[in-house]
Amino acid sequence: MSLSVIKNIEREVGNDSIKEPSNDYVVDGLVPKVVLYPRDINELSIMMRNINRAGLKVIPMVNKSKLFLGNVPKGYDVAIDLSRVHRIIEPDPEEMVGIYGISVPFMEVQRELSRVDRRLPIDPPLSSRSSIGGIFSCNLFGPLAYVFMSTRDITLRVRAVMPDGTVVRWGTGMIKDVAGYNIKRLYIGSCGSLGIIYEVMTRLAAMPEVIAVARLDRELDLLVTRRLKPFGVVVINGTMYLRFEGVKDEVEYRLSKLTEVSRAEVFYGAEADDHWYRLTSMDQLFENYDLIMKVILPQYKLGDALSLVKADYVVKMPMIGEAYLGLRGALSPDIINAIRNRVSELGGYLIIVKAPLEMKRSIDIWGLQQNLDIMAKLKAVFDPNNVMSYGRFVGGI
Amino acid sequence: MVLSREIINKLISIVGEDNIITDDVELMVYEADGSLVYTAKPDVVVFPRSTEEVAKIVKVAWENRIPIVGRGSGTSLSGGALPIEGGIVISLARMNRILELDIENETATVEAGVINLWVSDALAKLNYQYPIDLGYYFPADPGSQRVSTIGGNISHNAGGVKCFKYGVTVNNVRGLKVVLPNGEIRFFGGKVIESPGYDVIGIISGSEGTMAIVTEAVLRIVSNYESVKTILAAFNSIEDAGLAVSRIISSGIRPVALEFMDRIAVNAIEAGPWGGGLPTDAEAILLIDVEGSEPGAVAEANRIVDILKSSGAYMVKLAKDRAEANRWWSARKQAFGAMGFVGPNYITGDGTIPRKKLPEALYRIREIGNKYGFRIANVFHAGDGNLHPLILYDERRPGEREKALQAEDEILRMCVEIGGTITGEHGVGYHKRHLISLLYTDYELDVMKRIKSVFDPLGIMNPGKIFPR
Ligand SMILES: Cc1cc2nc3c(=O)[nH]c(=O)nc-3n(C[C@H](O)[C@H](O)[C@H](O)COP(=O)(O)OP(=O)(O)OC[C@H]3O[C@@H](n4cnc5c(N)ncnc54)[C@H](O)[C@@H]3O)c2cc1C
Repeated sequence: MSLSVIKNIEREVGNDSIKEPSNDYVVDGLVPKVVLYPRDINELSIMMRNINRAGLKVIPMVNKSKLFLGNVPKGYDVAIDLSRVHRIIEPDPEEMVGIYGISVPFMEVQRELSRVDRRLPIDPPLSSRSSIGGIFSCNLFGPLAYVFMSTRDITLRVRAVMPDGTVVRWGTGMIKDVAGYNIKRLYIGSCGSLGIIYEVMTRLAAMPEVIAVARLDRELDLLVTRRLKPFGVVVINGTMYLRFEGVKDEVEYRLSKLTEVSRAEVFYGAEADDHWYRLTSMDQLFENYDLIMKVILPQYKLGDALSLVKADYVVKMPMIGEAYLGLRGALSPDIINAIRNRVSELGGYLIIVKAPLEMKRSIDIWGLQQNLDIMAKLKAVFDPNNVMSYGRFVGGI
Repeated sequence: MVLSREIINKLISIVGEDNIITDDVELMVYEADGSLVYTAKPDVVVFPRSTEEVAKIVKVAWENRIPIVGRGSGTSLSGGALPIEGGIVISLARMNRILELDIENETATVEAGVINLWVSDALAKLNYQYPIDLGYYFPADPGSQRVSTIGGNISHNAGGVKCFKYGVTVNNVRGLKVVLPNGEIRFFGGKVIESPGYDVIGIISGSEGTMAIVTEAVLRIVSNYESVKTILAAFNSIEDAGLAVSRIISSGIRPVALEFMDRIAVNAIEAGPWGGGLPTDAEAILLIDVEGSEPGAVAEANRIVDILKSSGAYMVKLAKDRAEANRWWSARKQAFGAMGFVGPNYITGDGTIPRKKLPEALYRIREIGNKYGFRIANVFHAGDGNLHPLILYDERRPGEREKALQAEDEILRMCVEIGGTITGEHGVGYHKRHLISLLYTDYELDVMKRIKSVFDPLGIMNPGKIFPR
């Protein structure tokens, strides 16, 4: 790596904006040569402009809670630590929208929003320790997506720094806006491969009058569950939780219907909500398992896919057709491919979310086979020099 | 552009004599779309019956660099379906089969030429024959849902009255089969909520036919609730109606639909055959649907009634049955068409504004109307801030059409000035392409153009749309 680039950056940014790499910044065993720690968007833009010119390989990060997600990088010169950039939370409760900086922790956003009786209606994995940046750049969501749709769907505007340092805005922030191409949707879920998102604007939901979470001692059939009209459902190692929301009469009606099909223990209000976020954050899964897979299926096929893998820990979200599976130890690429083929025959996808390094080196974690040419060309529109998270996204782009 | 006999023969060999129009008089039908402001004639219209036929047609166009314009029902209100540079119009009208209704996986797979409402109709029939719970429907419901196609809805990323709760078209598309301009057939997504990689479905949706021809879609379907309640409220002031909307949304209730109409709009509707008994003396009316279990929906409706009354509504009515509710709703859904009863011509404007700016926007629209001497009716998807000013004019008077377009232009510029956008659901198309640079910088527009080139490097897909010359 040419030192002159760092010298150029040094000249233009604050003296604490460049750091020596520590262990925290290691990605898949690779240590960056330098850590850049921008104070603001202006510094971030200066850094990207210089990096891009020199063709250095960058990985952006905030809380570093999901650095395991992605293929093994094909290069890693610079870590961009975004943890002090743009810490804003600006709810507009009347318009039912909110603006958040990338570095704000998700839970802090929820706390702020609750002061004005609002919330971000998503419940992604690792919500307990994720920043807004991590959740939106990876399009992470949980069971509530059945009703409120995905993180990508509720995003109204993205502000980002392009790999060449240009500051851009995609979307106007209106709930309905079809002017120009929907580029914000490309950014959400691009996992840091198109540029650096530094701010998102989303739809909000109001706090409902009643929240109830019911715990069941058995798992109900999908069709029976759907009839109960829950807002979200998660099944953790066989224990099923259903979340209901709405006005009191609505929730009471749903719970009465539930008691017709199963016994249940019911939690209400803040206790229910806390419980729900603990469950859907899946901290235990992420802390204790070396291999975590995510399967995405047509809802009714989810059960078939789960029977293909003997997992030690299973978080199933039947209403949205997704599950996270924890295994101790690794699986061989042949086994992964065999499972993947079966999942694909069922109409779904299998993503390796976390895996031991040796295993990661021998597989593509995303498993996407089709349309890789288009994915690569889209990436090249934004990042022709392969500066951003090089090699980590689908098909090694 | 004039197509050679050889090319016409190639097209005939693909679709057959009965599925092609080359006659000048017959082609006139295809020189306009729902906007009825500009016209542009195609050289030929073809009616393929399968994705494979679309692919072969597109390949001919690709090899000969002929413009291609996809066409559903031609109800675009932005000039989107006009073949500005001539060429081949590919009508999807004969690709109109519902391929699969998959209740278990909550999807419907349809060809692009299927009319929006047919999807819900087919689901309703299925429900009648084999009672499946409460039944399902397709929630993206543009006012044009009786006539517009799924392909057209996807290409314009159409919205509808239910999108405050259920999202716009793109939020309800799970999978997409398309033909790329080079004739390749591609499929994205599946019957799944997400798939790895960039959101190609999201970028093609709303791209107004400038990237690919959509031939099939996997749609999300949603189940009905036990009960729907409809509420009608009348106000003497626009401000009060706006305030009521904010209060309803703040209360934690998620209405399925929340529609606003001003006095001129209501009077136009009530003057025609689609009148639904809406109060013609109100400055503004609100029409609201909530859904849930019977006790839940009743409780929500009562809450809304209280909010409406305390926000200054002088009349609040809960529909006594579905028949009454349907009368109100069909009156609302005919709002655009009803303008024909109060003026010979009209332009349907389409901008989005921050909801709290509604009184200001309506005041300024009235000023613009006065300045040009036009009456302007307003229909507003109040939940999501999408405003449709309907500018009434008479094209028989020289210069009036141009003036009406100028008035629309000013209204849209005003929408941007107060923090909104130039189109909420009808698309940029041909009419508004000069306005897109109010929203995006040259750099950002250049990124968009380069994305188009990923799919359409020769620039043959619906040329002359979205981007300024
Ligand atoms: C009375 C009335 C009410 C309306 N109400 C609404 C409303 O509530 N919400 C709303 O969003 N819109 C509304 N519209 C506008 C219009 O109906 C929508 O934009 C609709 O989605 C267009 O569908 P279509 O089949 O008529 O498409 P067309 O008008 O034929 O085409 C629309 C655009 O899509 C392209 N296209 C069409 N099919 C394909 C395909 N298969 N592949 C690629 N490109 C294709 C065309 O080239 C064009 O750019 C209304 C229009 C009218 C006349």
